[in-house]
Amino acid sequence: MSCFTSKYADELAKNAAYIGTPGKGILAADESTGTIGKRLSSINVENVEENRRALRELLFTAPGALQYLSGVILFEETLYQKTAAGKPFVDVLKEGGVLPGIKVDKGTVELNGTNGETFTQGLDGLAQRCQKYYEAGARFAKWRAVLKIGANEPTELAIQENANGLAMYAAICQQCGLVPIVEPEILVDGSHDIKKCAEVTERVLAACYKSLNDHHVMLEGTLLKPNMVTPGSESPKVAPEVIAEYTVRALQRTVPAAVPAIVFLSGGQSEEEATLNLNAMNKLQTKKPWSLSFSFGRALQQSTLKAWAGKEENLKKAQDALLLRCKANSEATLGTYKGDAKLGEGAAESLHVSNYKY
Amino acid sequence: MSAFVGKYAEELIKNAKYIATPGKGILAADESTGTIGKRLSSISVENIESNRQALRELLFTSPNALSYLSGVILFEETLYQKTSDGKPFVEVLEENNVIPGIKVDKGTVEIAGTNGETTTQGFDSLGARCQQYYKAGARFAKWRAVLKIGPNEPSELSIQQNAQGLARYAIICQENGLVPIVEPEVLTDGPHDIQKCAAVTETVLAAVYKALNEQHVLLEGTLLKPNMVTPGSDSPKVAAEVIAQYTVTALRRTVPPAVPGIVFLSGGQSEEEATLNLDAMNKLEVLKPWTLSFSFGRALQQSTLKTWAGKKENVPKAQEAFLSRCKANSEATLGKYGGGSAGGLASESLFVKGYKY
Repeated sequence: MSCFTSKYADELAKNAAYIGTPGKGILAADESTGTIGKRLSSINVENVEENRRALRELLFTAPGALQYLSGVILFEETLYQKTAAGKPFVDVLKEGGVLPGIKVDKGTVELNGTNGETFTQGLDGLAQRCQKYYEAGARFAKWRAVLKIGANEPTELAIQENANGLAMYAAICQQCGLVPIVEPEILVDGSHDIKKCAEVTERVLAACYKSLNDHHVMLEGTLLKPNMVTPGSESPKVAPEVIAEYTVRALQRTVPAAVPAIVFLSGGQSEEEATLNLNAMNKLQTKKPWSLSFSFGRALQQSTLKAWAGKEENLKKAQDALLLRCKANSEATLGTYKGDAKLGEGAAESLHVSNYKY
Repeated sequence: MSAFVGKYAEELIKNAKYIATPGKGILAADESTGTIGKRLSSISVENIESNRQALRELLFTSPNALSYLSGVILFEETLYQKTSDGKPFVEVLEENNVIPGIKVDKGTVEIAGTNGETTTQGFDSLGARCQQYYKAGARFAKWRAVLKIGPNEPSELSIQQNAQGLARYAIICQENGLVPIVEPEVLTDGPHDIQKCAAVTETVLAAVYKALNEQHVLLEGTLLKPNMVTPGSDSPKVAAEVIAQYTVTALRRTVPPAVPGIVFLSGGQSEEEATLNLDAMNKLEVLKPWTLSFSFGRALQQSTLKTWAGKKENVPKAQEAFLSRCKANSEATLGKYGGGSAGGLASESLFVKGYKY
């Protein structure tokens, strides 16, 4: 807000706006060592550093893919890795016009006295870590807060703690030159309908923006990474146009115009679902003062992973699969996706995992 | 939804959107009996009902002026008054596509333990009163919350009380078919600079929209009436473009896009100043998801009042003065004001310290 003071103010606003460039979005490749282990084991690949490095090299050097990306979120290990030829990943990305980002949270812990609600840790020494990451080339950060919908959830406690945590993280990032992606994910788990998801999403986002204001965060130098508004995982699905309507309305009611871009998480949707929903939002004829784009992990990598299967001879096939999804999502940010991306194996596969933990 | 969707939801959205029509704005003619008395005495006119009626008739029957207005805020007495020909004011307005509005607050009272900070009263039987006003033809309401800037002000207590009060008023209005204008006025009084005003305005607006969310107010069926962001009254003035920049930035940081229109209060600015500032905002090349218009009281009526001076023979000239300000502000909402409709009276500052309606 007006009390915000940081030598990075202009740079933050510039980088946040760049990430929101229409036609581009974010690849979330920041799976922690444990989480990437699950992905690798699903294709029978051993979870060793070399394989983690090989996978990320596959992604970042996929011909033609980087033009559809404005940012890639990295895990700490990856920030310092290089290609097999010895080129730092950070340089590969920068040369491709892609800003490197860094996951800075340290996972969730349960809130005492609640029914499995959590808050996110990672504030200790955060400023020092952010400075290091900035020196290593990172220009934005990401911190995932998690809320759930239940009979009595989310509680006011969970909302306040997570909103406050996000705001503190965001303020520290800005002091260190990193654009904070604010991610208040409301899990899709449950049997609730889309109206319930909308109500909770509006309540959570309102609390987030009040906290950000309290903590003097400069909104022009932030991004929002919310869930789309959908029915619960155990409820009947609805059309993308319905998801688009409820989602955009929730955002109109809570996200100030100063925020340059909103980059959705895919939260277990299949690759194709996520793209169709994003496309429907961008086709909607209504007030949208922020650009609507993607920050997809699973929904960008699923078919790539399957095509690769850990084998060097599959490299080209895997990279083609990634290019396909990047291009499709790029079109979705412009509302021009025709749904004609050749579906790779697994593109229509739901990626929902109950009570998902990174 | 997070928002209350009662039987009036569609009507509220439609009316709020209409009031926010580009090229139109609101005349705030809701001065309480006490306040209008001050205006009348400044032109040596007695504060009796027939004079109050005559003034409002002058305004509402000004040829062509109503085409620049989407709404007029009335005081309760005026809602039930008629022209000298016997036509209800409400009908005069409706026939000219101007929505009648009604002031529903009952003034401010001091919050104990603060340094002169206030909260606004008017909740008793508010729902019932709103129903009556709706029957009488009102379709929007107004409630003024007041905050001040000082070394320790506005306090968190004052911000919370006023924000929650505005939210409670707003939801009660919506339950009864009236579009609530949400007015959290941060007074200009003081030696502070424009940055301070911006910081306070952003903090206050953030609190207001949090409260509106908590109380399930349907934002698409509301309007905001904020102060412009300016230096304090005891500080040097700045250019209209600077005011525009700080004001629009503050609003972009706090007012959700779901709000259809923002109608500024003039808060003691001269007629010309208020128009120039509004014009500068609408000329600003930045994304604004709500319309920016006016809800002016003094800044629309000042020269009209002086020209009238209570004399029947002055009515046509007074009405011309009124038309002139309406047209100027209409152009300002479109960023097309060319300046130059400022007679000497239009440049006169209307600032009154610690202003109470």
